[in-house]
Amino acid sequence: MKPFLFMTSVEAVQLTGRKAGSLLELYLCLKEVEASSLYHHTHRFYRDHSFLGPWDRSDFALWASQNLKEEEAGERMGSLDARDYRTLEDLRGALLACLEPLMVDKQRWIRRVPPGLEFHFCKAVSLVLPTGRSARNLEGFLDALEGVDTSCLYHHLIEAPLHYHGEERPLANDFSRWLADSGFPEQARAVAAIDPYHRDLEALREDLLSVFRKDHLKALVRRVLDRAGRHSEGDAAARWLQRWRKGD
Amino acid sequence: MSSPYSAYRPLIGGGEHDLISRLAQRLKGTETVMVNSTRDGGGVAEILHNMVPLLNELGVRTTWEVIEGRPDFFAATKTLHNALHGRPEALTPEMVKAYWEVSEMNAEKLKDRLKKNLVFIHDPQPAGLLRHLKQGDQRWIYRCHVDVSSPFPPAWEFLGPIVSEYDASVFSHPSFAQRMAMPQFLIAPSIDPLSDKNKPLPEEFIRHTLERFGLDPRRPLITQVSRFDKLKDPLGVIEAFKKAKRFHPRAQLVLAGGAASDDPESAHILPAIQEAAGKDDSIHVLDLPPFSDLEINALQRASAVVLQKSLKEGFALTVSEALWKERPVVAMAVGGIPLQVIHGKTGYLVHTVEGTAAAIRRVLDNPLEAQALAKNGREHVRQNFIITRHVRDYMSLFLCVLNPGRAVVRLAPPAA
Repeated sequence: MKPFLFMTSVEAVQLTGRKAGSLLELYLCLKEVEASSLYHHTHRFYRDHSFLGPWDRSDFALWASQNLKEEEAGERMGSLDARDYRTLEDLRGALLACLEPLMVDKQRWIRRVPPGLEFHFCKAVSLVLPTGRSARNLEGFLDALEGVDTSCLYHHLIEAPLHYHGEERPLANDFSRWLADSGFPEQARAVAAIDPYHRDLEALREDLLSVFRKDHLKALVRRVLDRAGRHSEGDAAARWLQRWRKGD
Repeated sequence: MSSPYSAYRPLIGGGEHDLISRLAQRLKGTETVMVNSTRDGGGVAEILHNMVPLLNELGVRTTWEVIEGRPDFFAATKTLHNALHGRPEALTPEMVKAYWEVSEMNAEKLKDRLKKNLVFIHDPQPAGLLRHLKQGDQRWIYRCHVDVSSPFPPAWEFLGPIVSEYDASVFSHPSFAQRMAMPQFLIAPSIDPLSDKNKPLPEEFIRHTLERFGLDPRRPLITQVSRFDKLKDPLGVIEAFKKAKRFHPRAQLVLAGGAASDDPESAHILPAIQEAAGKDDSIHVLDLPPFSDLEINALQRASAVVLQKSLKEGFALTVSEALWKERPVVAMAVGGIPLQVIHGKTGYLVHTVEGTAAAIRRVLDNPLEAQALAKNGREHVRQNFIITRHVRDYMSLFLCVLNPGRAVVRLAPPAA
């Protein structure tokens, strides 16, 4: 089994010097900025800011709603589900599509925010480093999963698949791909199905671990049923339930 | 006296604590020097007092040098500072001459001590050293702590060409970015939650401090802590307070400030503030001496509202200080303040004297709502504006500067 190396990352934020003061300028900038800028402005809140709701987690949405007072555009951009996009270019297209219906109203399209409230485009440089933890089997994997920092979860579930695993986001995240390669296809599917954007990162850890807890429970049931092979399945299940209630 | 790195572990969690240590291992063998213009007074010196020992403890060898100046040099750099903030003040030829003379003098004095891999220059005062001392294999970083979003053009025409020669620059807010070819980084400054200014204090000390300054602990306290400077708009604070006080007659205002050795203007502003306060005995102007951190801490902790009514700001660390103490904050939407105060989430952003007065009333009328925001504010600061995050960002910056031009820098495990 190939070991899984738990990595983590930190970001250094760079200024691009590009700014937008209207829907038109936002649209033009969104068309041209580097993908790492799109990534930064749609993902930076996932690492922290647990007190902000999902709709507040896109800088573009926040700016359109709060500074430009274009709630419609803000709501559309804030409602995009990042899981729907295989690449950052797909995400770019979706962001542009949120703005396009507003093009028809020319006055609205070019209306500017007051000076000082413009949107400033930044981008992130990722520094990726090992956590020092690795796993050679499922037990070690779970042990590490419980212990690693949330930035490691962010890296393997969100950042690496979307930001720099080549052109296309793989259908699975780093964890599920390792599980699949290591002969745990069921767990791999369950981990791939977790929505990494749904809750904060600590809750995400719980979601991950619960996959294996469920798995553990299923294995227990299977063992009980196997041991009670000479009985009918119904009897075995009844006996298992009885033992379960007693806490065995 | 700074705290050992291990003391931050309960605040930031083991994962972040270990991550920072691992990042530091990648900078083993790198030597860095910080250079600024004052050892005491103001946010930059305060950060360096905490930052430099922490970097060294983590194994990133860092020294700190302070340039020396003459009164005409500091008058010139204060003019430059004001003009970078947008005030129409131009450097005279005499000021430019003084700037370069003092740069040359300091270059001669510091030439051996600046022979490091990374030279980190803070603000315009020591910026000119680069032209005298930069060597080919060194990386020079310019750290801009002031709001240069709309500078008076001649000021940037003077400073810009100097800064353009650096390998990288660092700003506190995206709107401060300039048209320059070199990479420009965004790094917010920070507070030290374990310092005298921010550590928890016994109730008795807080009450005693209030009484010592003639404040009534039973009356709502509205506070602005800032050096006495026009750009902090102390007169606007008094005006807003007077408007709010019509609805909350028991409120009392404290303007607590002091002077920094590189700020010759402070002494001139104080009399104007005292005159505006007049005979209103609910307005207290406290000219605090250096090393009054415990007193400032007590005043902030006792406040019902903390104001930051600045007209221009680099960042305003006083906002983070207040949020860390879970105090409701009303602050102007300038400079780095909107990074700290997310309107309606961690405090209230305002744009005018009238808005400030209305927000003070809103906090005093709705203490539960304000407290909920303040609680978010503390978490926001914990995640983004405390010294360990700042240390992490500086180390990330160093690694980016040493590995230029890459979107992803993969750091191998350190050599055994």
